[in-house]
Amino acid sequence: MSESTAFLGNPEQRALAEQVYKVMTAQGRFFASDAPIRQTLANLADFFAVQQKADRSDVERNIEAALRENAELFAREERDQDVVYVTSRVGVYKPRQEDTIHMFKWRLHDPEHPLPVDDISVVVTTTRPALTTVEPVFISDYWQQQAGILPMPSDVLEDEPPFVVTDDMLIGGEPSQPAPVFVEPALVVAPTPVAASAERVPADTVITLPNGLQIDLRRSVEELMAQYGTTLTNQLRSSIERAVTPRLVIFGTQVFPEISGGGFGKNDLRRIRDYLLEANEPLLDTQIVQDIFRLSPNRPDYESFRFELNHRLSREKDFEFVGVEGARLWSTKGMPPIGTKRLKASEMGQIMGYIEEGFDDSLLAQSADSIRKGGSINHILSFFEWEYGVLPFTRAMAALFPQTLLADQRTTILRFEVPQHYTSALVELRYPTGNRGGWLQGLDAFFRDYLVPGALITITRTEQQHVFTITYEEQSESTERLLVVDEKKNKLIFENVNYYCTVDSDILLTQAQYGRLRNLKLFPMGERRKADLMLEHVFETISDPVGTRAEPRYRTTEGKLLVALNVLRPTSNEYLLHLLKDSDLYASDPELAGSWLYTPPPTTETDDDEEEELYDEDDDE
Amino acid sequence: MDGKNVTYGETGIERLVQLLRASGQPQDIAWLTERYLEVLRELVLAEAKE
Repeated sequence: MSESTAFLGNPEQRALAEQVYKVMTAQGRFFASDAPIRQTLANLADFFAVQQKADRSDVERNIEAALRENAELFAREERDQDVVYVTSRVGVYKPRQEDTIHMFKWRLHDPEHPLPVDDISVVVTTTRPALTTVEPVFISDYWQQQAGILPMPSDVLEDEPPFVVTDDMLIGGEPSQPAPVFVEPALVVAPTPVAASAERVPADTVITLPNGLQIDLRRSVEELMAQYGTTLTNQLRSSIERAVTPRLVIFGTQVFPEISGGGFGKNDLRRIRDYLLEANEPLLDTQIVQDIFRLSPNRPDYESFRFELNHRLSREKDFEFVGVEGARLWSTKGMPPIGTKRLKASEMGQIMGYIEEGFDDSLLAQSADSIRKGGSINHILSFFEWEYGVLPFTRAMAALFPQTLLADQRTTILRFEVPQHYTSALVELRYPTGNRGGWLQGLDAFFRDYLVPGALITITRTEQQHVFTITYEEQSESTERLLVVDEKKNKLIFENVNYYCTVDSDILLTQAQYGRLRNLKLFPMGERRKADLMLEHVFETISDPVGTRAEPRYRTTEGKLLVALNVLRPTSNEYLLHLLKDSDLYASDPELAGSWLYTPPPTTETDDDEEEELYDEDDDE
Repeated sequence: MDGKNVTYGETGIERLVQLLRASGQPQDIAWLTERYLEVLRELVLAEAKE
């Protein structure tokens, strides 16, 4: 501010305004000359009331009137009921406008005479970096416009004035000739229709998701969630999970800020492990929190503690999550396996692979919707299922049982309650992976104690996500000679069995109906995954010979084949039909609907001898 | 903020952290996504209005 500056108003006001200005510039003595100097009216009134030994309210009124007269010098702002005056050492305060148009970074991005660009890949390298990190690549608007990704901005073409060299831009005094006027011819072309229709404003509110989806944030959150809810959620989840320095952590469907430094030590983990081993079965997170850490659910930090426990255990190799949403169960190394030891997971996965190959006809009898709504499923036990205590994880079963909570979860432990006998069993649900099918195991004791192959069971959901009930229809005692496995001799035999459950008589493996089944060879599980070989063996064993000794041929019905093949391995009717139609060895019998003919491939004498050994010497039916 | 400068899952995530800390409880990812959209809208539309 120069000395000659004249303040406005009456003499008192001019004097007061000058005093205020002096005080404020003294306050900002070390400020930049154009930096704003702010002071509140209240502070000024306090200061001048003491100086002038006058009434504060009068002083305040006078200051306000004086500065109003000099409003150009003192900008007035109101903030939270405070009046603030702003000025600067050079007079009226003007926000600084930095001219960045000639900065090097802009010259680099928007060169004056760029080289032609045929392809955007010339500008952005496609070379794979050593570390595969996903980072956004900034491409200047200019290059995007050159590559045709963005439209040419119309304002540049229309509004930018032609570059004119004026006198004062020349060095060395007066020009000898009239100043040249240079106009770039390319800039005066008429805007194209594309450029004219392009609007910049909407583009500012559009964001691009990592998967390339573009959403306009002018739409409401409800609309966006209704249309892209799953994508938005998944993208946010993967961003959180991939973050180099995670601020948030996820467990299942829940998110919470990362807790650094705190948490569980080795001693806590050892206590949890010991407790699980002592219980001898998977336990809920709530049980662990309550029994080991003595935390009451009423505590305000209970949920965050529980979340942290789950998140920590999920990162420990010694612990495995075997729960579902609503029932977070934890297992640890060294706990007893659930179900029979006669089945290996790898072999079972392959045997059940037909489900994942698309030969699952489980929804023919009950639709997935009715299972979901009704909360129960009916199933007729096959011999294999009864013998090993397993159930196939078909689409019908998938409609009833809960899905995995974690992405890398392989199993879930469920509890099956048997209300008819006041007992319960732990059941391991193995989820399908890739082309390997899923199954449930752990029901062998219940099946053997109370049921026979052909029994109809009903599995029903309960209020607890991991608890189900399994029931069957009881009937008065029946006795039949049924197929069983003689474990000492590892062969199939018939023996008298008493049972008390309703059965499907067509499937009941009685000696009268399926006497030839005792000649089935109990192949090792590794062999049983070869469904085509099993079918040949089963067909030959149970069917009626209709050919000659030189040209043997066999005939049997589809129904019998299905029951017999299910003695050796689980099979659906659809899969059986696929096997029959897929091979040249089988042909449907034109004379008898539902029957099939099998012509075995020619065999050598040695093969025949080996084949004979498979049959039971006592087979004298 | 210009929408082009928004990196989904990174921009404004600090606000989500504060929100979660304030709630004191783990929250569902779908609920969090809605809050995140609100944060992004606030950032982007504030500039659009200016």
